[in-house]
Amino acid sequence: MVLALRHGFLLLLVLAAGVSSHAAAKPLVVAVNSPLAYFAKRLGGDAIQVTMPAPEGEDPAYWEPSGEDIADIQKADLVLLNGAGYAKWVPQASLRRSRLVDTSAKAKDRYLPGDAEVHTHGGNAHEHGVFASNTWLDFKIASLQAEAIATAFKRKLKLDASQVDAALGTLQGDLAALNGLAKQAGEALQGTALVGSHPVYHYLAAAYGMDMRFIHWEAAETITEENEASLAALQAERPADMMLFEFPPSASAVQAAERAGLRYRVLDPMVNTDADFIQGMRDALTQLKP
Amino acid sequence: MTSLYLALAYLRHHWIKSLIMVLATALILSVPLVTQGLLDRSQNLMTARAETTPLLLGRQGSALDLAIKALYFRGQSPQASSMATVDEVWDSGYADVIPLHIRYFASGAPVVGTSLDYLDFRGFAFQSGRAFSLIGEAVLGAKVAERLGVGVGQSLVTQPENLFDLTATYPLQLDIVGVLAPTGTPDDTAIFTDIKTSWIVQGIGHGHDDVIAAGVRPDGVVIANAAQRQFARITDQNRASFHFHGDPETYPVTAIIALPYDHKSQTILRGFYQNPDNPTQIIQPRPLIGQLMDNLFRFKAILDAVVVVVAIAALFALGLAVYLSLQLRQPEIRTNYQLGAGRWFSVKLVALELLVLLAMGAGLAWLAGLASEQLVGELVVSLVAPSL
Repeated sequence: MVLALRHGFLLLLVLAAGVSSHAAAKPLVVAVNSPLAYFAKRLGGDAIQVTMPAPEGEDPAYWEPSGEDIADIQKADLVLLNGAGYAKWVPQASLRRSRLVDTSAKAKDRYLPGDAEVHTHGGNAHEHGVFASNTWLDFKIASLQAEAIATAFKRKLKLDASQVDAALGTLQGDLAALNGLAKQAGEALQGTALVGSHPVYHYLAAAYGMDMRFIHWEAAETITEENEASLAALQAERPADMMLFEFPPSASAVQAAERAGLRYRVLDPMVNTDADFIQGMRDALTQLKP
Repeated sequence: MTSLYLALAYLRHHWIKSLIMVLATALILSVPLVTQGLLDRSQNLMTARAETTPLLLGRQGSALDLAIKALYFRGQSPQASSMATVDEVWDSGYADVIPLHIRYFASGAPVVGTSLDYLDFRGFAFQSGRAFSLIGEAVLGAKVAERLGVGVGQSLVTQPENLFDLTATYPLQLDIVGVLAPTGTPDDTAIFTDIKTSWIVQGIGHGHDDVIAAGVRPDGVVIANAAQRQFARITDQNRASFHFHGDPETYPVTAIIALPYDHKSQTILRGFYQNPDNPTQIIQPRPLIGQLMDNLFRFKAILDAVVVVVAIAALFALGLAVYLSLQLRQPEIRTNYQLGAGRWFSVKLVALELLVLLAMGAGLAWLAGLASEQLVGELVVSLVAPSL
């Protein structure tokens, strides 16, 4: 009896060791924002570990990692970049090119211009120009990004191609459904002039025919006189009807919008969240009506 | 046993004569040993890196300059290629690509701008610290750290190319984040940074305070005030302000290491760049460096002949010394005989003495050979490479 128990215990140990070594062998995938991390999880399932390194509450696009943070990211088997200049830390970091995936590379011709500043010193003019980078808000581009991740998983991580392809099919189906919802929202908003509280909706507006201009408000913070003045200037130029916030706005932001005669809606680009991307977008798009 | 005891007693008693004989033997034997060792080691050292580097790409020009610069970080700088070529090879899907930017120095050591892939490719281990992870960070080769007495947490400043060029870019302070374990290769004498850091040293990228506008050109370009402060050190506070100018495809690279996935990929890549009209050349360093070494060491045959002649002359001199010594020892040999020693006893005694002297001389020559091998590594590269 004792011998049988001892054998059973040893067997358990061996199995546990097997399981832990299997877990340790899982490829590590780092995504620069939550939508890409979500796509990676959907496509890689339990075969990979996925992390999004920006701390909670930080905008991954403007996060400034330390050398040690980058040293951790360097350990990843694959680093999923959004492309279009997203994540300002990427050009300053040393990463293995063989492990980088520019997920929006196939959509480069669809990049939209963002804020640009041109200046010259020493006689050479140059531009600190950037593209608008929240590409996934055009769900057709998001679908291409998912495809790029799937290709990298198959080629570089050697994941089971049939499983990845199946997961990609389902994910692209979900993204196509979001695309349909966004189209409906765009059609419903025809004739409604929109103001984005932050310049993060370029792709949404362009892809779904929304008439949108942008100001620079921090939705969750108290709105300053300067903020209000910028909105007033925009309204004086051409009145808008509705304001889109990235997060539930502060009372001060709501009041300022109402003073300017604007209704508001919330559409979180979901850059840093553990929430389900498809569900979150579906909810946001459904309420996006005049 | 008695003979050996007497032979050793004799050598000890006449220690000055013994010492001279040992040194003479050691010198005669060590010349060919040390020379052969030096040549073999230097040839191995020079060809080993070439053997592990399958393909090199660079601008059309001297293939030798390209290979020497890329492999040993020395010699003439070849004309710079560009990142467009790096991308081209990368996009071909036939090879992994490692760019090298070797133009600047810090404290006399070459600053090699590259990617993390180079550290993996050479299989570096770290004595302390970690790999560079951000612009402005550097990793030192073991000998650089030892020579300068610096380590992780300290910094080095890049040297301007020309002291009198007032328009040159500012020196950049490099923060040391790692020191490599010794490799016995030219990597020990270099400083490694991300290639983007090298571009900043070159002035292609820079960081500065927010633009103070001195005016606006008719085309809308803002003219910055000349007094605007540029950063000479990249810190956590100003890192985000660093940016690059121009088309990234035009950024310079000194050489490109290509690591083809298989033999077929290598052949296709070589074929693609064989066209002399192509501004990019592709070379296989192994045969090139091998041929160079063969040419360089062609004098070895002459050296061998000289060594043989000198050795014969020295042996004659040594033989003469032994003969004269025996003549002087005739009374001693006669006394031995009269004391009852056999005829062969004296012969055995002298033979043992010679054997001990030769053994000691050979041992000393072997030690000299070993010492020269230890010292030769970087010395040979530093002597050979600049003369190429």
